[in-house]
Amino acid sequence: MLTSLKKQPADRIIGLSALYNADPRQEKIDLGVGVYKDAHGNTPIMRSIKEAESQLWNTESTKTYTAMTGDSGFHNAMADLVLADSVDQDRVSFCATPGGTGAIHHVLELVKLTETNPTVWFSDPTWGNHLTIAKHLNMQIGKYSYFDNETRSVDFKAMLSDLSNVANGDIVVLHGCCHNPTGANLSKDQWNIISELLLEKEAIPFIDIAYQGFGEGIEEDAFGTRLLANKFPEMFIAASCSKNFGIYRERCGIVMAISKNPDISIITQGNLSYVNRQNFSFPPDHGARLVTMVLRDADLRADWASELEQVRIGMLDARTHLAEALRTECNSDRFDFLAHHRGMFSRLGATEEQVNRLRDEFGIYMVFDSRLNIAGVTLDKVKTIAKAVIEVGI
Amino acid sequence: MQVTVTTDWLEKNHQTVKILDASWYLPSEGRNTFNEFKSKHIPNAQFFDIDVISDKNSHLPHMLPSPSSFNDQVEKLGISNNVKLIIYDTDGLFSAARVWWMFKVMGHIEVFILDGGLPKWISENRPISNDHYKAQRGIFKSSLMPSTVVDIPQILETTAQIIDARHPKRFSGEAPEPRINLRSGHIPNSINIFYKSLLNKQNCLRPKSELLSIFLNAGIDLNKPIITSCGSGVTASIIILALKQLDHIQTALYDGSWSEWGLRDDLPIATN
Repeated sequence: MLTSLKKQPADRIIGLSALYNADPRQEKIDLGVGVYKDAHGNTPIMRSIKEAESQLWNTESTKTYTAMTGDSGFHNAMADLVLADSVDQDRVSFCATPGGTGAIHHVLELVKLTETNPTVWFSDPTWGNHLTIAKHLNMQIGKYSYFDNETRSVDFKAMLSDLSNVANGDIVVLHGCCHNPTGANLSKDQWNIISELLLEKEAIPFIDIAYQGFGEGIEEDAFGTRLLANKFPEMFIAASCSKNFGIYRERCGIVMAISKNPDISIITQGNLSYVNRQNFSFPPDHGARLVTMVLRDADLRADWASELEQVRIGMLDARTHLAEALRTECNSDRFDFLAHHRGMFSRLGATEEQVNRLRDEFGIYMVFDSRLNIAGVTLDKVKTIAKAVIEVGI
Repeated sequence: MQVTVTTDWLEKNHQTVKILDASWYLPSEGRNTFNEFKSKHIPNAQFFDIDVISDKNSHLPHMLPSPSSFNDQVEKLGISNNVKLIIYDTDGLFSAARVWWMFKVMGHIEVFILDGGLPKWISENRPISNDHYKAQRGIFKSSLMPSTVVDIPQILETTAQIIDARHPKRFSGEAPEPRINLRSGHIPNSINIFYKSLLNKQNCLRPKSELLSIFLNAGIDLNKPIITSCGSGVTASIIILALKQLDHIQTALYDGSWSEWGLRDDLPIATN
C-alpha cells in the first residue's frame, strides 16, 4: 500500500536549514528559518516562561486531560491579549490548538463544516503553509496583490482592486502584523479602508497573528485585529504563541471565532470542540498553561513584556544598521525599506539566482524568495551582508 | 556613510529639508545661544537645545531623553519621520554632532551635518535670517537603537575599544575638569583622540584619508566595536561622526561620559 504513495515536495525552508548545517564555512550566516535568535545565535527561553515553568513544576498536581478545546483560563488570557475589549467575549468561541499552524488548519476545517464553500483569499505572497493547508483541505484559493517588488512596500491600490472581487461569504486572510514573508504592513488608515471594503462585500476576515509584539509593540500590533473584531459580525483569528513567548516546540496556538450573537457562538464552540475531537482530541496544555501564568501574574507579565520589547527594539536596531550599511555600499536610499518594514522578516526583492549566489559565494542563507530573517542580522555581520547584497547585484 | 552635506548643496535644496541650529557651549563660555539664533540663523532653521531636549530625571548634563519625550519635543520643532534633517552650529562643528547622534540613536536615517556650519555659510555670503517662526507640529516616532548607547555596567564588561575625545591634558589628569567635583584622569584602557584633531582650521571634518590615519595611528582597529566618551557626550559624538564617515558599524557612545565616571569614587581610574 505505501508503495503507492507519491513523494511529497520537501519543505524548502526546512531544507535550507539542512543545507546551512552541512555548510563547513566558518563565516556562514543564517537568515533563513523563522525563529528568533539573539546576538549569539541562540533562541533563549524567556525569563518569565522559565519562572512559570518552575512554579508549575512545584504546583501542578495532575496530568489528566484539560477541556476538549483547552483551558478556559488560556482562552480568556489570550482574548485579553489579542482582542482586549474590542468585542463582547460572549460572541467569541475559543479553541487551543497545536501552534498557530494548528489554529489555521482548524479555522479552515471549521469553514468546511459550514458547507458554504467560500473562496479563501490570501495575500500574494503569503506564508507558504497558508496555501498548502488550504490546498490540502481542497479549498478554493484566491490571491490578492500585496507587495510592490519595486518599492518593497504594500501595493495598496492593487490590493484594493483585487479585494473588490471577493464574493459575499468569502474568507479573506490578513496578517495581523509583521507580514510574512515581506515585512511590509498596512497603516492604520489602510486597515480602516480594508475593513470598510470587506464589510461592504460581506466577506469574513480571518486574521493570522503570529508576531504580536514584534512590530510596533504588543498593543499596537493588535490594532488591525481589534479594529475588525469591533466591526465584523463574523470573523476568525488564529494566534500563535511560538514567537512572542518563545515556546516554539510546545506548540501553542489558539482559534478565536467571532459569531453574530452569543447563541450562535455556543454552536460555534461545539463545532470547534468537534474538530479537535476528530483530529487529536485534546490540545497540548503545557505551553498554554505557561502563557496563562505569564499573562495573569503582574510581575511575570511585566517581565515578559519588557523582554519582548527588548527583542523588538533589537530587531529594529539591526534593521536600521543594515539599511544604513546598504546606503553606504550602494550610495542610494533604495534599501531604506528595511528600516520601515516591521517584524522578523523582510523580502529583499532579489531573484532566486541572486539568492543562490549569496549562499554559494558568500555563505549567506536566506529563503529562495529572498525573505531574510532580521534576527540573524547581528551587528558584526551587517557590513558583510551589505557588501554581498550589492555584490550579487540586488 | 555620508554624514555631511555641503553649504552649496544646502542652499540649492533648502526647500526640501528641515534645518536645525544645534548650538551649545560650555556654561563657562557664557553664551546665550538661543538669542544668537534669534538674531542670526539659516532661513527656516529651528533651534534645538540639547539641555532642553534631554532626560530631565538625570542629574547629569543633557543625557539622552526617552524616545517618547524625544518624539514629543522634536514634533514641536515640526519634525516628522519622513524629513531630511540638516544640523549645524555656530562653531563650525561642535554640538551639532551631538544632535546628529541623537537622531541617529532614535533611528532617523536621513540626518546630516552642514559641513563648516554657520561660520562657513556666512563666510560664503549665503542668506541669513532673524525671522523666527513657530513650526507646524510634525509626527515623529523614534525607534531607539539600544546598541548605540552604553552605560557604566556595559563599559565595565565591554571588550570594545574606548576612545576618549577630551583634551590630552584632561585625559592624562594634568588639567582640571571644567565641571566641579570630578576626579581627573580617564577610564582605564581607553585611548585618547582629541576631537579637535579630527577637524581642520575651519572646524570642518577632515577628509577621510586623514581621519583614517588618525585612528590607525592611535592604534584603533576599525573592524572592531568602538565606544566613545568625552566630558558630557558632546565631543564623543564628533568621534562617532568621523567613525561613521569611515563606515564603522559597531559604534556606541557612553552617554554619562566623564561627568558620570569622574563623579563616582567606586569606579577605576587611570592617569597618564
